[in-house]
Amino acid sequence: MPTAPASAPPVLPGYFGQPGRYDEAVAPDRTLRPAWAQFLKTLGPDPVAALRAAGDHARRAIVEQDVSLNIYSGEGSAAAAWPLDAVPLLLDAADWSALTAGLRQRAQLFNALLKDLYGPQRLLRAGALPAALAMANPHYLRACAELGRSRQPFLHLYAADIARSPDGRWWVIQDRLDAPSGLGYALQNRLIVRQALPAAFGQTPVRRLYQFSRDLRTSLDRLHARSDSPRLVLLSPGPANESYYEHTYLARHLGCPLVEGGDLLARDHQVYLRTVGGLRKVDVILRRIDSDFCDPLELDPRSLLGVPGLVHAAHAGRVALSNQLGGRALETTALLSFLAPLCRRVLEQDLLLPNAATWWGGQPEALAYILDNLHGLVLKPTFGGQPARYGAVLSAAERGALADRIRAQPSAWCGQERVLLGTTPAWDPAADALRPAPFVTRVYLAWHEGDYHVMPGGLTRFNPSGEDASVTLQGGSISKDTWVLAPEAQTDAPGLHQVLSAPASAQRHGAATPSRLADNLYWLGRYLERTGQLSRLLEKLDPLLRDEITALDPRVAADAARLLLTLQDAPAPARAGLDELVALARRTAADRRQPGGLVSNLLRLSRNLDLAKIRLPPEAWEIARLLRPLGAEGASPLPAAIREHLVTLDGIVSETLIHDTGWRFLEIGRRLERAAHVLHLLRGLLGAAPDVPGPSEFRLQSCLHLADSLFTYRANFHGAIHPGGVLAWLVAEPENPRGLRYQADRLGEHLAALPDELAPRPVEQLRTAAFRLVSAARLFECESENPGPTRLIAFADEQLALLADLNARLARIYFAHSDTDPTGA
Amino acid sequence: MPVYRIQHGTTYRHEAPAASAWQTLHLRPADDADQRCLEFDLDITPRALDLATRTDAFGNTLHVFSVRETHRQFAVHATSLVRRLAPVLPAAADTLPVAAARAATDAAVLEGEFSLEQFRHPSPLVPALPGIEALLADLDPAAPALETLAALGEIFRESFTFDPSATDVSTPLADVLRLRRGVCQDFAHLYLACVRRLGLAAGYVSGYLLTRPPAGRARLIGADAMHAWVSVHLPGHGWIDFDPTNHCFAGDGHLVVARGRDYADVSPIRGLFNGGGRHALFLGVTVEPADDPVDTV
Repeated sequence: MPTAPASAPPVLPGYFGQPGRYDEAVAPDRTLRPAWAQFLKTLGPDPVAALRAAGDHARRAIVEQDVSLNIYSGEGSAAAAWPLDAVPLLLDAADWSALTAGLRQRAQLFNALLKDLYGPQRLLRAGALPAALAMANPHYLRACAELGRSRQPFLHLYAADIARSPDGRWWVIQDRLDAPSGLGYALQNRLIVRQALPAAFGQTPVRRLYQFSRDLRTSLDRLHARSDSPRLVLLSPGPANESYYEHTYLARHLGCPLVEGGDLLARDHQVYLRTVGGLRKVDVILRRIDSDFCDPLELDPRSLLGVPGLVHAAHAGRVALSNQLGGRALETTALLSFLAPLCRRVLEQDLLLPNAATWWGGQPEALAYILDNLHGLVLKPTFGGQPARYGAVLSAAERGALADRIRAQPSAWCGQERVLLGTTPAWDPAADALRPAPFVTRVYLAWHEGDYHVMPGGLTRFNPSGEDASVTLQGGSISKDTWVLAPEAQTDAPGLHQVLSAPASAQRHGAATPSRLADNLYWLGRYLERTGQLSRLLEKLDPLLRDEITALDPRVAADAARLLLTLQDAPAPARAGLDELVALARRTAADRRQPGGLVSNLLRLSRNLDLAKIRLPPEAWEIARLLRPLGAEGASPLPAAIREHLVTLDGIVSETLIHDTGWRFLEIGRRLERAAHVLHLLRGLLGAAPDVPGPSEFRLQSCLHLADSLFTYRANFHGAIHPGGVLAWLVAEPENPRGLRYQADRLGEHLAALPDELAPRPVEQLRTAAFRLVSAARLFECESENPGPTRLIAFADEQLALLADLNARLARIYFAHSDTDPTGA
Repeated sequence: MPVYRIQHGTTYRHEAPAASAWQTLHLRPADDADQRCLEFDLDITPRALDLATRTDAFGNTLHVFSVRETHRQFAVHATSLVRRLAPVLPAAADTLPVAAARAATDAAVLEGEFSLEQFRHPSPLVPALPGIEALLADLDPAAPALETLAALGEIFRESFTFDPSATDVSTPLADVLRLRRGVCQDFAHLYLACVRRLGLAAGYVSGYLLTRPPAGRARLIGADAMHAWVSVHLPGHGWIDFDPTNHCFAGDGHLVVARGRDYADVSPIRGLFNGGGRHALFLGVTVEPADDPVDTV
């Protein structure tokens, strides 16, 4: 055998494949493989610099677009930036076509196996599938028996983790049959990497993902045979789930509502979405909740994530699920040792893709083999539940103990040959160079018109430590985009963005805002307004304190400081001096433990931004990201910094959101909060005024200033500041966008536009309440010349009570998810 | 052929109003070789507008429904009329010893009776219990399996005390084994653990006993609530029911409702309420001889 040159290829300095592993870039003779040779050429004269720059670009994009992954860490979990290496995995066309044939076969096979397992069970009866693999399998869900008899596919979405074996063939490491995750991240990775490596992406014939995305939405719609315009929802475990970001992304991408178990209601053998317009029938559920947790009535009763009655609705055939419930049963490692004969029996074909050789302890000969070869095998519990053990790294005593456990319950264990994962170049920031990293790629297939379509791409992961024991993102791995090369260059005409516009069916159902989303948007409006008002007031406190009149008479400034405490739900000590009040107001604002303080409101605003993310444009996500650190422990943000971000957010909210029902809830929240603010201001500054005979000009002027109305007042009244004019401007004037009347008018308009099917009478009462606010503001003008503090306080309290009543009615009608009868299909 | 009328009432009283509920029921008596359910009637309050019937994976009748009225009290009243034959037991000598029965079960599983396999493994409420072997130590391995079942019943008679105050539905089986006390459900689960340990297929049976025994026969334990016993598969003879609480084979007074791997598969009422807080539970079961409608026509 000729000796290989001892140096690495010149464009990959210091890059050496690892002994015994297949490397994607460098062949054993140290020449570059064609795909990598081509790719490196596209990077220009200094590939290392280009890749370094691409990495920086990708990191920035991830931060800016706020792509995140929740990492479980015991009690508290926290969102971490999505780990992405900008260097893609390159798969050439011939390689890919062989791989996809094998994957499609595998999807067909698993679909057939699942339909049989949850249907006629012929394979069990014939002994082709060992009885214990189903009958002793905790993931075989008896409540789902017979669901496999439906004409729809059981396995709609299939994912396989594949890896390169030392001889260059692909292995399947793991099949994902229940609710495969990661598809959204794969799509997101593509968007980021194509921007991080624009020249390389442009010059490489990379296959596009849009067709798969589009087909996915179509095939989801078609899962429901009976409806012309089926309603699709994406069912997520909620924001605490590790990949909630992805759920948000995917729901936007597919143009369907993102819902949690509590948003759905199963009754009358069907599933409904609770919307502000009443219950709406759901036809198709793309679920990201594991089967076991989908229905506390018939599956795991401890689950708080699911929908009671979902299983029964599936039995009734009224709701289609992607995937049908129960697929995890066949994710058992043990099945792998029976897959080849099952494939011949079921599909009458040879299994195209190999998996690591597997022995199941439930068979006597296999058990003997496992016990004789413990040192060389990976030992896996048949039905999961505990980590795999690597025989090679166990001590003799540990091996003996493991052998005893296996002998005690042989069918509960599998032995698997150890697989040396192939490597691909990954950017190592510490070394400022490419290093070979063992990787696994998750490839996605979706059923479409009778066959499975493979997404030409995938979610590649590698472990930066260079080990391949476990390549999961929870374990600190890093992801990559996966470039599948087309036989020849592709035109870039239909971009991915096209899919981002909602399909027609999503628009048809647009009016049905889910109740919980309306709730989130309403509170987003309230916290946005409240946080903005508080930060503006705090900002204005400084000039007020410096005013020379304050030096002579501190009462107005003290009342303003008291108002700030009231607005933050903190008590204002009666005898406190100005300095003390100001210090207290500022402390309250910065203290996370003060539930009404500025920072607490900021935190709630951030949370509501996250919850309503699906309805907000990416620019708003960016603001959400910038706001988050301002509320962090130990941060003491300047009110001006907060206000600046909120002004931007305000602009986005008013200028880019579609003015639909959801937006109206946001606006209602905002108007309600602003109305309350004006009333508190009047009460705190003018109601408190002990001045005789009336409020001083300085007090009136300060009141206008704090109400953001001084400039408009001056323009309108040509300078003269008198009590009647100020009250008319702040209360009764329909043209002052900061005044009470204006808020009342807008509230009336928005409430009139809300759906009333849910509860016609209570909605009527709600609208009447808003009308009372308008009348009160309008009528106030007649008596406003100088009503005096007592009357003013009474007026403000009356209207504040009215606002509280509006809030309660709104919540009762639209957010409380009351289980009224279905009103629409 | 005795006929029985069964009245089974269950009432939940909530401490606060519940807005809605979802429930499943295993209450309809089974139809099988020795038993026929002649009539069955369900009365549910508040009304269950979407009451549906399914057959579960074990062949039992399952009712599924939701309640959408706000309520403080939820009640299910089931009335059934059941004709029951005394099961015919095989002659003990005709049954195989345990080891041979185990091998015959292995063969049966391979030859199409795959569903037997689920009754040989640990199940949600019957885990593999360390220490269970002690109960099996005195069994005669050469004895026919039917005798072994009875002998195991005698071991239960000596080892365990019926004591409703010792356990509740959530007591783990390991605690029952340690306490040596429990109720019919506990003993059925323990007996299942023993028989599965022997390698045979064994299932859980939920059902009823006659409230007042015929003249001259003792009143059995468990007659005033739902009862539970065990069904063991003996190759060549099918399922044989044994009552480990009363240490006897099931007779014509053991009325079968549902069969599963353990209680979790066949709980008579399982479900959840939306709201309601804590609740108090009231149960009433009456089983009385009735006229056979065929005879009286």
